[in-house]
Amino acid sequence: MVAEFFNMGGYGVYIWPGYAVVLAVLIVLGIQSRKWLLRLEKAVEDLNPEISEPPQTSEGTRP
Amino acid sequence: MAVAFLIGLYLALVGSPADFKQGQSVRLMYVHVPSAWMALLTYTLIAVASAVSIIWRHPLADLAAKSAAPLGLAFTGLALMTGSLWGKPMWGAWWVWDARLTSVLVLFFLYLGYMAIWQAVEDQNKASKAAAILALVGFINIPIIKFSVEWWSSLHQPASVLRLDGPSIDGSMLVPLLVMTLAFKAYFITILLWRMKAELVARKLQVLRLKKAQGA
Repeated sequence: MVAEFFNMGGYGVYIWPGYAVVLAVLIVLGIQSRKWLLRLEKAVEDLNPEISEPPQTSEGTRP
Repeated sequence: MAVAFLIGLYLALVGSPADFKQGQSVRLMYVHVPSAWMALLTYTLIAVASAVSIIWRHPLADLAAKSAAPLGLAFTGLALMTGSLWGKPMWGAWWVWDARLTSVLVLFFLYLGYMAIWQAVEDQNKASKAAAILALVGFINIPIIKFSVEWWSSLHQPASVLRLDGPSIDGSMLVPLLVMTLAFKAYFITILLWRMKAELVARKLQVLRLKKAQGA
């Protein structure tokens, strides 16, 4: 039954690579886009460290 | 987005019937058609954003268009690839130079050209104008793609969903198709927003680096 499902009536050799490439492209593009955004946000934080650090008390210790 | 994809994939691969003529190969429709629809929709978005950029000079317009282009390129490539995989068992050929396939290939090259302009032209204001002009001129290809199967004799089947007299596709196939289309749309919106934010942060970074260099 599992073999029949993967065979897809003889069309499995067309269907499964099709779905695999679609999912791979969408996942890779998504990961690349997200990583790009995070990399840029980190670069801005590194350039502006006073924005990313939490506020301190007048004695210089954290609340 | 993930839920829509999971439900859509289940319906596409398990929860929908085979076609009486095409057999199980019809399951490629559930990735081919949403890819093709998104390819056309994305280019339309780029053309509209380009018009807004040229006419009203809205700063987010060219940013939206630039961010959408890689997504449109991906969708067009996937439409061509899945169409080829579907065409081989049905038509006996990986590719034919008919109106629908050729015009979608032209769309693929339009996306490449649009992205190449942004990469090649250093002055981003000039790049924005040149890319916008290409996008607007290339928009003529969208109705050509849509009506190609009616205007010329084509192997590609005519529309069975977006028709004046309503969809001709059975509900058992229409529902999975619409769920997958929704999943593709949700994906597009998510990734577009990430990419637009990245473009904005990149511009902010450029300004900060300039300020730092001037301060030093």
